Amino acid sequence: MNRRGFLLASAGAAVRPALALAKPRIGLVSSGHARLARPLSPEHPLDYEAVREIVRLAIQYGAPRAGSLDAKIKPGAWVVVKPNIVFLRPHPSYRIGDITDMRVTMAVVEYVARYTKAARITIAEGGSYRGLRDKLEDNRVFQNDQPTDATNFDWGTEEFPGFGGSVGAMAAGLAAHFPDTKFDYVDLAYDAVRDASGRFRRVVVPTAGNGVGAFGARPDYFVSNTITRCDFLISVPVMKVHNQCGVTSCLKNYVGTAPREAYQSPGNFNNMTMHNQHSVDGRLDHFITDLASFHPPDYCVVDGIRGLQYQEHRNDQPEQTVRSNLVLAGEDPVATDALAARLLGFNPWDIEYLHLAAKREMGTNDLSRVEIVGDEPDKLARRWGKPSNWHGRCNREWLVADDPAADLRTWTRITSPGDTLERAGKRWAAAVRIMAGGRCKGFLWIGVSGRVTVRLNGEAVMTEANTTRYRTGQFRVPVEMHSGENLLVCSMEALARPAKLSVLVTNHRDDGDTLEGIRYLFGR
Amino acid sequence: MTRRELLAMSAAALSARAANSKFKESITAAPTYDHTPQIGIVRSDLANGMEEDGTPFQGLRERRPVTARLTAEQVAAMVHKAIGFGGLRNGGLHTIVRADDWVVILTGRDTDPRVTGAVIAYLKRNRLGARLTLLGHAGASGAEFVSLPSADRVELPVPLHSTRSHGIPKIVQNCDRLITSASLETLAVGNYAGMAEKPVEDERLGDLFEYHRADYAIVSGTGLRRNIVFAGPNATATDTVAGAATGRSATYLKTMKRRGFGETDPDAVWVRGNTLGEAKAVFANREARP
Repeated sequence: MNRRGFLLASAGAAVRPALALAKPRIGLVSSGHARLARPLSPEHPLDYEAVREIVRLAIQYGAPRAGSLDAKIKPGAWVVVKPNIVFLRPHPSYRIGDITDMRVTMAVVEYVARYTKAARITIAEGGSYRGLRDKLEDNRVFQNDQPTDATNFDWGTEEFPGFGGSVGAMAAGLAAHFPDTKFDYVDLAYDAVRDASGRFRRVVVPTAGNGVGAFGARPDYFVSNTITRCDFLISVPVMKVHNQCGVTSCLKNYVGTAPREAYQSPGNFNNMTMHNQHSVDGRLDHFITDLASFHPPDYCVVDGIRGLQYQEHRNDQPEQTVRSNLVLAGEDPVATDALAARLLGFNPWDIEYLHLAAKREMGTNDLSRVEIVGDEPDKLARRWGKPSNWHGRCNREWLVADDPAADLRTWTRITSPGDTLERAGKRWAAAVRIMAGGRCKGFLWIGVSGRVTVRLNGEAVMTEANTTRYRTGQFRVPVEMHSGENLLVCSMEALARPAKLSVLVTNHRDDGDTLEGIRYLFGR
Repeated sequence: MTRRELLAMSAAALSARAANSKFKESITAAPTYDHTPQIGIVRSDLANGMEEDGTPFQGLRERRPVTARLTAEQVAAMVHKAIGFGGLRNGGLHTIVRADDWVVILTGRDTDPRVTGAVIAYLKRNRLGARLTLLGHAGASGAEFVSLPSADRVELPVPLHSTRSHGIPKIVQNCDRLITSASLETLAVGNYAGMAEKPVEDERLGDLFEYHRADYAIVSGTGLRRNIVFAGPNATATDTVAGAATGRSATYLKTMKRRGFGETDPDAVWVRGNTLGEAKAVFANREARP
């Protein structure tokens, strides 16, 4: 090694720990942000210039560890911008707030074109509508009697004020402004990785640096070429409530990267087959994380201008579309999603796929370890309508014993992989230590198959029996935690089948979110 | 409203949306969930007929005048027929209730016990529900009984409206599925007022409904020899159709609509079995009206 090489290596070694220790940053900018040239109210419909400035400022605030987004994107890079365009407007399940605001997508693309030396910028998405070259007739969208797809579907001027036309026209317009950059659209629905014979090829989820592999029911997925091959991937989702996961944002956006041409079933141009093949306990969280593992987001810009509450698609409920007029941007997708969850009124702890992504070292779901620059989240957070069957993350850290009277120090430590603890045996007991930051009131949600008697700090708070369908949160009772450690002991008796148990302590609103300020402790 | 009219209206609505954006837009068959409630209407004299899409249906085997005194079997036949009509695109009560569910049937003081018995028989015959509980004022064979006035109660915040809380019978929250079976006087949503310890105004009725929105609703006039049964998966829509038939709409429908509990426009509901006009005819005589 020469002297220059040695010095560079030394400098690099010195900088690396500092970068590793630096908190991830998230830029959060609302339309009323004081530093905008033209602050606008949270109800303002906005125009493209306003959205562009919000996006620009959010990206600058949410600078990656490299210092800036332009520093992180290498000259000549192929940058992919992945919005959510799951439906086009005629789809019966579409409602404003369902997909990423076209103006946000355009502003991100324009930012990359203007401030970086990317050689190619691709807008990529795979929605539930057939492409023009597809010969099948179902799930085909028509506009003015002409078949159309995401590239040339004309959104008009009303849906996204200040944006007119199609994604294809957007790319063409930007190409005219930035002639040195190539702009294109890739329909990920038709971009499956294939083998030499042309057949769809499954790819196994790569193992993370810490040895963590796939979470889904099967580890090999159909994936798209564009996502796996591009140099730099920017996830640009719309943040909204999701019927099962709680929230959908940067990581859930990856469901649209799975090629529908490989996962479709007759008459269904969607990813339901993927759901069936890869879900665990009927949940999406595991395959969301797996899909993101093929190319975790290099950067995220979240559209928080309008989103949907109660569930992710149209549900015919009044006031389902919620306007917030904000954008958040950051390098850490887990932290960015955690902040999105907070803004939607959820407890980020309750979002299962954030735990899984954190296990794969994609980022942190602990917002105390994140630097939020721009607007204050507490001022922008609102309580969006939750799905009717929503429940947060149940306790996973158990102490179990066959004899509830046995000394707690002799109980066995178990980490349950999911919300439910299931054990063989006619009688057994499970305990959880709950640390509360202060005296707090909430509700205890118990799901049980069999009979359970629950004691909190020695006092019996519930006795219930259930021989019908097992359901998290079936039985609820108000409880009060005292400051410090609380001990919850559940004495179980199997009735018709092996006993099952889930425990969740929710907040005073009883809305299914984990009570703020508590922690389930692991061990004795 | 007939199915054809409904479909035409849906297309018109889509066109209106499209017109708003100055585009004519459509999509070919795509998987989606049709939320349009289908409300079954069955008079005791329902004859063989044909649905608007041309599908024939069988009437009641033993037809009786709408003012006749009915046997329990005749009432059960009406109820079962109405349940067969009332559902969603992907199925009716048999797809709403699972075999391992705990089903609570909420009844009012004036619910015809023969209707309740018919609902229990339907569930048992089709092996729907592992546990059936009757929550009301009188028991019936085939289901355990919990007296509404003396049921164990729990104070819980109103879902989505956490600044308010009410005491409700515990089993309303504990059960997996709730069927409300009501008279034409009380109506399906009105049954929920029985859960409160004192009279409730419309907003509070909406609160009580929010704790566990009815998974299925049955409204009948059989107890007072106005032999008609309404059944469907949406209590608000069922009450809407029943109200349109009798000419007496419940005051709470506006609140239910605002809170997103269901359709209150009878023209936006798909009526099956007897038509709405045939249902109205039962109440042509003022004395028959609730």
